[in-house]
Amino acid sequence: MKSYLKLVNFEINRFFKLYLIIMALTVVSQIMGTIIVSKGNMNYINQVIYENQLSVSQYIEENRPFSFQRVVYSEWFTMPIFFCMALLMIYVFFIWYREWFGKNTFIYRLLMLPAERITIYFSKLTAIMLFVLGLITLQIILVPIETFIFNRIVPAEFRTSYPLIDFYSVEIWRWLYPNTIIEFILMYGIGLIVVAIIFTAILLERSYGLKGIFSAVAYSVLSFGILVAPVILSSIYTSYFYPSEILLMELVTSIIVLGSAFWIANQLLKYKIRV
Amino acid sequence: MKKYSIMIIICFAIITAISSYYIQLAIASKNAVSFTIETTSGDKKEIDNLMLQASYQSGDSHRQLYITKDAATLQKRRSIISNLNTPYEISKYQQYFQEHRNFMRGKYLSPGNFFEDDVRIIHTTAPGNGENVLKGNLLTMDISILDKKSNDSLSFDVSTTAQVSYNFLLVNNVYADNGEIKILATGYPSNGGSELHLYTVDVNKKTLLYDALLAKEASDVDTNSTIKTFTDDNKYQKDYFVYMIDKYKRQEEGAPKLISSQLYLYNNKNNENEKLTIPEELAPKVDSLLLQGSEIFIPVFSADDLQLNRYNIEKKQWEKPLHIQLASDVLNEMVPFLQIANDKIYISESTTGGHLFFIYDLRTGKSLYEGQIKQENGENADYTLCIELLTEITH
Repeated sequence: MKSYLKLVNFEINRFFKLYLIIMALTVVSQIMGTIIVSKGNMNYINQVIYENQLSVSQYIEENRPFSFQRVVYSEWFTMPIFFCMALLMIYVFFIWYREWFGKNTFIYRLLMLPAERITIYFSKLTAIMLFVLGLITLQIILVPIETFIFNRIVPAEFRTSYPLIDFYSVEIWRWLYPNTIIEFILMYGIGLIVVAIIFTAILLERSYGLKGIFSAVAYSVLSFGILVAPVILSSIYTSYFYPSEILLMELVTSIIVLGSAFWIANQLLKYKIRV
Repeated sequence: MKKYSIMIIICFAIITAISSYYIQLAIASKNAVSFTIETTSGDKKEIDNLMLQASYQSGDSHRQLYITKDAATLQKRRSIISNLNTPYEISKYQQYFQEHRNFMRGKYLSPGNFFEDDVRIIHTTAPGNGENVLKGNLLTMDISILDKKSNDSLSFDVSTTAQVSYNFLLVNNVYADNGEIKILATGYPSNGGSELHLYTVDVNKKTLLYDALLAKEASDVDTNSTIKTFTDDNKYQKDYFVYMIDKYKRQEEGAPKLISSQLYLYNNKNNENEKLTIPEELAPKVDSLLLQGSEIFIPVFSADDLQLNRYNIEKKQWEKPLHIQLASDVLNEMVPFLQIANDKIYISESTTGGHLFFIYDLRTGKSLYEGQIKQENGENADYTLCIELLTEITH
């Protein structure tokens, strides 16, 4: 346990500087976006009022107030989220390959540690999940700040409230923050399985070289196939399976895929890994 | 401990932020927009099992609401996993799902696809809605029959050769009697237009007896036609259906001009297909026709009055229209919501004074219930509420 925690901490520290830069970029982009979108809308309103010689009350009578939705729907808000997702996806590969392709083959030292080798795998998996959840947390913290800035720029008479529940009209928000905590755990559980499949595929490639590439591809396709089989089945046989049955099937396939990913990774790290 | 500080901070921030987000979301959901129906007069029991499906708009906020008497406003959840549950929880098929779980597997959930009488439930559908069936290929109908007493079910399919290529085919109505099943379906040929077919199936032989083409949209350089069907979606035993063929003349500028409109009434019990004559003054309103059991209704809204014209199919005569006084001036406000079900008329009016809800007796026009749909919670006082559908809920 101690060596696992040490390794997780080690993985976090290695990526932390870059992680802070990603976070800073997200904060800057979203706050700038809030200011630009809010000011842009206010400039437009002022222009309409000026050009048509309207009073504020006349304008409000003829036009609907707008909400923070304008910010949420803008690229300033969504682009950093996609950027972070893409960067973390790259890091899922980099977190392993850096051990082999760095200045020194650091994997030597990792594999020689007096602990179960699978601990390296678990620590990297934990680190990735912490990075993902950290960015999810950042977004939760940012929204009230952005709403505050929006409310400071847009006078009350021109705006309407945009409750948290309405964020769910945005597709990306529904995926990042599923409706209930249970759904959240399920969704990120599937994310964890996907990362575990990729990790095991990387280890296959690292263990068998060129042959390993083919086996990694075959393993990934098979694992993803099993993982999504219940969903595919339910879309082929529309309405045949009840939701509880789909969830149960998904749970069983998830356990099979995750269990086999751990078992294969353990075997590879113990007996096959090449340095 | 100190060397784990970054990890501890990240973990602490994650747990605190995510748990407080979901607590906040749960509170927001509870305090979200909710409406209640407040009784003004009449019997409160009238609204006991009613659920109004409504569209709510306030600023940039748009939601689907389900309003019941006790302010238990359900929000249509915009989530990925709960979407799997919603259609089952609050649909009119809830009872079917509870009682006939296995039979309901893979069924297309549309009232037109079901037939029910005392002893059986029948479901028919064209697999995949008959999508992309090519001319000369087999057009198949899946038929499932459930014996309600023994819970035994029988499934088979019947086929016919497609005379044209179809983009898709939708079942509008199912009727069963004397060992035969009649399936009314609209086919949409890939070269445009639509066709109304009546397929007759022999249940014992499991074969298709007839494929009758009732109507077909015709189109040429100057004219085109449209077909519209009317069925009684409140019940699963539908003796009649109505269809209308409108012919239009194309105009050089503007919308096509209606040159003729003919209604047909089909009686499933005796296979009679008769032309239905509509009084001249009702012709422009025929689009809002409602079929209820053995009666046809054509509502006409005037300034502050609803004139409900009715035709008795069995007596073959237009009866004295029912007049209902409206609370607001329709010409200045939104057209009221109207639904006829269970021998009652349900009306919801959106007035400057609020949203009013009325229930009248379909036979006598007597007021049974009067209430107001009131907002209990809501972020914005300025909103529009549009009632779309009324359903009965089974607790």
